[in-house]
Amino acid sequence: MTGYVPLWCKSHYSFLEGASSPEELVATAEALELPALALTDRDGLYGVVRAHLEAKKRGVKLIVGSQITVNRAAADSSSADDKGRSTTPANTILLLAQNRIGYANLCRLISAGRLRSPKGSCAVNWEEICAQASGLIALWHGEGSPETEPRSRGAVADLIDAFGDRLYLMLPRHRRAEEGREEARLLRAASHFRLPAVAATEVLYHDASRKNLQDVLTCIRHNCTLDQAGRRLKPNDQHALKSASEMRVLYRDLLETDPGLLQRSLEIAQRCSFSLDQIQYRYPAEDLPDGRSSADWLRHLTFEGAKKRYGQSVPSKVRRQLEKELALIEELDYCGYFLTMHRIVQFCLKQGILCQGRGSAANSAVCYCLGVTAVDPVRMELLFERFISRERNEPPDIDLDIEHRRREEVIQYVYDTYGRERAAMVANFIRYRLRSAVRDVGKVLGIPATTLDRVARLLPHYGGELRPALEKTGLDLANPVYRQAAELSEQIQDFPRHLSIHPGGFLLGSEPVITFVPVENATMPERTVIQWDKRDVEDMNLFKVDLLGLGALTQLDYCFRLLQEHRGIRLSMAEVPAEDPEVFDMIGRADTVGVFQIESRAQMAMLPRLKPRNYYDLVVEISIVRPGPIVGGMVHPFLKRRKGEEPVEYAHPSLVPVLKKTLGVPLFQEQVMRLAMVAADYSPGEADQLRRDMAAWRISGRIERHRDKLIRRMLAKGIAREFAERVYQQILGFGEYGFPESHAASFALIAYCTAWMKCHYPAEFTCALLNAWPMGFYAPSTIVEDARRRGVEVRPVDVLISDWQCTLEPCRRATEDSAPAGPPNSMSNPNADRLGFAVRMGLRFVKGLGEEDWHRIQSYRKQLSGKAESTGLSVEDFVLRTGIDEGALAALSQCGALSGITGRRRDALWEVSGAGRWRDSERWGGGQDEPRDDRGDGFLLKGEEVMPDFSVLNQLESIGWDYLSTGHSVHGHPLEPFRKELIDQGLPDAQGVGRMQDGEEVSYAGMVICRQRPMTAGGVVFMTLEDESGFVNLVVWSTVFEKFHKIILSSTVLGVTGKLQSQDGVVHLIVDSCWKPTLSRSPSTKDSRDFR
Amino acid sequence: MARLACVNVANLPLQLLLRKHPEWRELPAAVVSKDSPYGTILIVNNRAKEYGIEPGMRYAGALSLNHDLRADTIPEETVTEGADFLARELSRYSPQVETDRSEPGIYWLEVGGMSSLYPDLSIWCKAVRRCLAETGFTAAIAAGSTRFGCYAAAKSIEDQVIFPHPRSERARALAAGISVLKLPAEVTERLEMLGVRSVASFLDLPPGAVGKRFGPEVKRLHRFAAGELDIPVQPTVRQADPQWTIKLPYAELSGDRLLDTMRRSLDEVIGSLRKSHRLIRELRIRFVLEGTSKDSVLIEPIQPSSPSIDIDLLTDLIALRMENLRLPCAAAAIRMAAVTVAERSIQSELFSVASKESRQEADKVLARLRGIFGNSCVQRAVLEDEHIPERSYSWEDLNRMPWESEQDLGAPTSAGSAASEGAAAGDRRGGRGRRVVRQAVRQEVQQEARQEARQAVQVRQAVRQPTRQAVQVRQAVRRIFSDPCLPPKQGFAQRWGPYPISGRWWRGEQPKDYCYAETRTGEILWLCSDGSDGRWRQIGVVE
Repeated sequence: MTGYVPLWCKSHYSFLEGASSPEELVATAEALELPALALTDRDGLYGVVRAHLEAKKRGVKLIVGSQITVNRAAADSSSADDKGRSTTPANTILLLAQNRIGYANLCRLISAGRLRSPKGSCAVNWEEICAQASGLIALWHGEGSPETEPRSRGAVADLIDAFGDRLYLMLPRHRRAEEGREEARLLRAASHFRLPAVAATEVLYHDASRKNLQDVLTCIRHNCTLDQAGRRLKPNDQHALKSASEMRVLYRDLLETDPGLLQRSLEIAQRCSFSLDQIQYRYPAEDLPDGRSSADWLRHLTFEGAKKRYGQSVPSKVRRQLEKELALIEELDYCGYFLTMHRIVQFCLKQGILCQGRGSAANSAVCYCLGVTAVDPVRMELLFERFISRERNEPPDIDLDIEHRRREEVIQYVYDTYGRERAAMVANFIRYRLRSAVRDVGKVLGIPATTLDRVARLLPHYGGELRPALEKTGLDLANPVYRQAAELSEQIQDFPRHLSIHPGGFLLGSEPVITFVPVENATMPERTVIQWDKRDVEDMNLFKVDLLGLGALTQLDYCFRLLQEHRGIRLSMAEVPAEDPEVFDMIGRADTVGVFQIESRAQMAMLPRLKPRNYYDLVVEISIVRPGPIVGGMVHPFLKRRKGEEPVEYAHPSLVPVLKKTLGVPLFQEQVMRLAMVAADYSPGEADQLRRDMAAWRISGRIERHRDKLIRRMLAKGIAREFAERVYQQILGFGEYGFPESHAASFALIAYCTAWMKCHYPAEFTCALLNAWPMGFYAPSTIVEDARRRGVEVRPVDVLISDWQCTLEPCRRATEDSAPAGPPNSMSNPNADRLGFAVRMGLRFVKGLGEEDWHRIQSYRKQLSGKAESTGLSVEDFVLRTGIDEGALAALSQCGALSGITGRRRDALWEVSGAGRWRDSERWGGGQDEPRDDRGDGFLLKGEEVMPDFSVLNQLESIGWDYLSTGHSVHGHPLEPFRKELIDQGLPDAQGVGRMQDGEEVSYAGMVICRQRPMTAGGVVFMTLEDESGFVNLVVWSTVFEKFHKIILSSTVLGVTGKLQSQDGVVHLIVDSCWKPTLSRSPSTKDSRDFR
Repeated sequence: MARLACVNVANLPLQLLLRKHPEWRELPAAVVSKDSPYGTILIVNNRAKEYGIEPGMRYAGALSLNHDLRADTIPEETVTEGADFLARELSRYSPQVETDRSEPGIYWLEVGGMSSLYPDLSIWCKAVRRCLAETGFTAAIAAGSTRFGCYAAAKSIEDQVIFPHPRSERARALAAGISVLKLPAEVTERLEMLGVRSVASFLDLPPGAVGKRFGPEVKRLHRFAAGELDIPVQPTVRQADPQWTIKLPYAELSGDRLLDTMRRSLDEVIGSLRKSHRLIRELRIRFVLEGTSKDSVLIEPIQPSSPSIDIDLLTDLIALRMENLRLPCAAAAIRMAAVTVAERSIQSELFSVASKESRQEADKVLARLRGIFGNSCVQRAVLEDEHIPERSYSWEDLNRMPWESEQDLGAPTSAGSAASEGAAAGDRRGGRGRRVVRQAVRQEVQQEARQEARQAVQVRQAVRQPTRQAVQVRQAVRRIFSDPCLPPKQGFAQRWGPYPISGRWWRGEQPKDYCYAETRTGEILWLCSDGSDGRWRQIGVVE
């Protein structure tokens, strides 16, 4: 090696400090002909994987290191503030990994400093550094070095003892006038301690042009504007990567006296032989009984499970599949991974936590037998012959969905089982996108936050251009501030802002995780997280276990519990009767409010066209309404082929095995990858790269590089250009959001189970859905309305009856075989005889009421238990005994929950008014200790007050008060009281609209419950209006939206006129104009789901 | 029957917002609580209302209803200033104007005596509204005989109304909605839910029960609506600061006689100020010269060390200022104006421990120095948080000795060293970072002296002899020139640097290079180049 090696480089993974990516630094090092580069991000190794891959590609040697914050008092809690931050000033030292031992020590050291500190900070002490010195080279420098400390001589001596000839003195130069003094001091120290000196500048960016961005990052870090930043900014642009000749010029005078100053950087680089390739990862072995091997034990558990699933005689087809899968698992040494999944699932089973595996490996016969998934791959004909890729050499993929309210129990179980050293969660870097960039950069430049918010709103979440948005908001790009904001916001794209936590990814290792990646605290208590994200973990070929929360499983768990509690029926997901035609009839009618995955407006529009009749149809249904197939133009060809309107053709015979299942049309992510392999002869490695690039194309546009290769190779194979282009378009679409078949298969099972519950046990379904809420697509009001339309009686909240959650109560009418309750227009319910129960709304839906209040109400009810019903109850007594705050009391009054105590809601509201004010006085003893003034300024004596004569609520007001206080009403839809007025105006209800003919001109008025503008729809807005009889779906073209956007965005009740489009049972109203309906009074409002 | 009027400048903060941003008048606009997407919308204009934007929403939420929504904050002080401005405008139309401090934008005016000036009260109302419109405000006015009657009417109309009889006034007030009352929003909402929507139904509620539930302030409003708080207008617009002109019987050039005249005149003014408990903070004096009403000489304002009506002190300061005054010709008149402040209670001063006498004496000395050399003659260095050396400190007028910390007085320091000390301390403008420079009493340098002294030495630090190492370790005494000059042409024996400093790139500043250069005579110069012409300029020397 010749020249010089930069030893002090910080990338943008030194959050809000470094202004270049590791890739940019490595690429520039190559361009400057530097033989090596040390990445030394502050207190972390966040960027080393990215730098490692880039360095390998470019032939630049990467030295792994870190700038460690040293605090003499670290680990001494007495010198920490109340947030755990150290109160003594911090110094820093650079540590470079010489070998694997040194790397492990560096990881341990950073982990120690991070784990004892609050998120975002780190500190170790000199003693700890000395203790972990083995295999590390240390460079100390500048201000805050040990020399300045009280025990200076001792500390330096300790460092010399610990590091020996691996301790260097670093001489930084950044052309600052005041550096001279510091340099003189360092030179004296070097001479005194006989330490070799080495030249090194602090590199914060690859090119001096990033100086401005680095200033901006500094301001963001300090939460100040550029005008306020002062000396917090670097004074000049001398923190760029320099060539060897530039370094020789910079240190010319010192090189005269010490010619080895630059040469020593090469010497250090040569001494560092560590590479990330040396990390040997092994998945943790499970504790196994009777000295069995992992493979034996997995085989045993699998066949034991198979007997439970299939009975004593396991079908030969299943047995063959199991043998095949087990052999592959053993060959690839994945047994431990499957055993871990089994262990976690067993824990869930024991604790009564509903879970379900998904992913390519999850939908295997082995996983079915292990109980990881309830999808029977044999019964469902989902035998994934390539469920684990031998060729791709990638870890198996199993995501375990867990009912969301109990996921934390499972996470803590994993920590307890494997220990904090061997288990940590995978990180997620929160990165700048255009919206966040413009907000932060603009703030630093002093642009008002409200202006920035206006600009940010015009930007898409991903991609997009800033300059048009600035111009659209009337900001002049000729103004230097806005021009700078645009430039810098573009530069900062994709920069990590801070570390977050992956939704559920766990990294488990047979060795302590902290020997191959540092671990730190997450914001959430009891969570620790590694410094690498999912992509890094994949690139390092580490195994990840995903434990994800899923609301639908919580809902199903509630359903099963209610069934058992009220009807004595025990059921699990695997036992739900399969292929029930009644359920598929319901699904085909798009009667799917609350049904997992197929309840959205777009899914509902697809269901009557696709008319799923079996499980696999549901798998297709879930996958087809995704941007991938939509953008790729695959939806219509598939529907036509399914209906027989178009022949099933293949562009090339080789594609038949890949596309046969989906009638020649690629719908799943796996198919796209296999297409690339079969049609374009992609190698497994190239296909894997394609998958990764598909996931990341929005960020970096990396998918573009596949275009030529894919199309060229497909053409060479005789595939028509038109098909080749279409395949490429679909790949782009899948980058947006493609759905793997393996995931869809698992989701389809949950979807089917929830649909089955809705179809056969609507009361239990509704009760469970409301209790699992917030989840899914619809607000409680819509869920309640839907239940009422299905004939389920929903009863209001009552402080004397309701629990915190919704409950089931025997339904008198149903048990007396009378007609099910429901609004006049409710659809006939074929399952009326299965009802039997009414849903009692829970107190949790009362706004402002907390669980603490619920406990108070419980104790109030206990106090009442001895009394005769409603005897001597008073609102004042309730207020005094429960101590609930005034806001919640008002909500209870408004929703009628106090009607068991006092009859009229307005009287109750008047009585609780000012409770916070007068309750304390009443508690003082009713005027004994505090004289009360009946003339007005004080309080009236008990019984002296006359109740004003308030008017009784009408139906409209009742519903309005319900919505105000609970967000829903069991007394009717807000538009119900206006039905006569609307009919008089010639406006039909939703059911009436549904009965109209295709092409008919329609005017309709309904309540807006959803406004959506998908990115894939070219500006078209989709809306859903609701009334007491159902939904009407609107399609608003962009021109119509522009014309009527004011009324569309501001109206809760909207009138529309347009042409009806009715095909295959799917009804849409294509809107021509919008208007405000003329109503005698304003209906109460409900929240709509807007533009998500 | 007493007559009064209520003027309602509705949504005053919004009106102030639209005065500040007139280009927003045709757009949806809102006043927000803070400059943040999470700021709460306080008031909106009608264009915003059309989009369903309502007070109480977050700015971010409102923006989703209309992307053109403009918003800004209007600080409380601005509202108060705006309200005071309007009060002054209104005082031109009534001798008695009462500002409602609890509800900015509401004014009570005594209109009983207006009939002699305005034959019809409606003409008076129009004149008032026109006057306000000319200043950019719209207002509604109701004139009648009761406070609540006028108030309720002014809150529910957009133009003007005059009630000839109390009966019609009362009927209108009772029929008004409760929104005319300045009830807290949550009380209004609660009452409306209870079906109490008009003033009449509000008054039907038992006052005691209202107080119990909604508190004494709502009960006060109940009494106000019931007509129990009908008191006469309480004027709040104070008399303007005194301004007066002394017409001299004959043109005068003699300073002593002018001073004597001013003293006598000032004595009279002080008599009236004493009655209104006000003190003079500043005196402005202008001499109108003989033969013209336009030519005049304005002397620098005279500021006593603390607000005062001590005639001897004030006369003394005027005399000091006049010592250096040479009028070009005799003065025909003297125009004087006093800026006054309310007399402060002296109770708090009784607890002061330090020697008040010496402080006052010191302040008096400073006041005398200002009197002799001008108000900017006493300055102190304030350290600035800047890399550029010329901007690393600034000068500010020192009007009185900063007594907060005795230690500050004893620690003269340099901008440079303190700047580096405090680099991490952030903004040094506030409090602790300030240093008093004892040498900072900067005399006004006479015209002829300016040329030979490049500028006064302002920043000093006691350090070692100037050696090369001294330069390197940045411990040298430096003399900074206020005006850079070209360095001597003799060439340099040695040079250190350059040290580039980027400056404020976001304001279009270009980087500058700094360096030190040793001349052949051993002098060490401090040089700077902005790169514009490739030349170095001398900005100081190292001593």
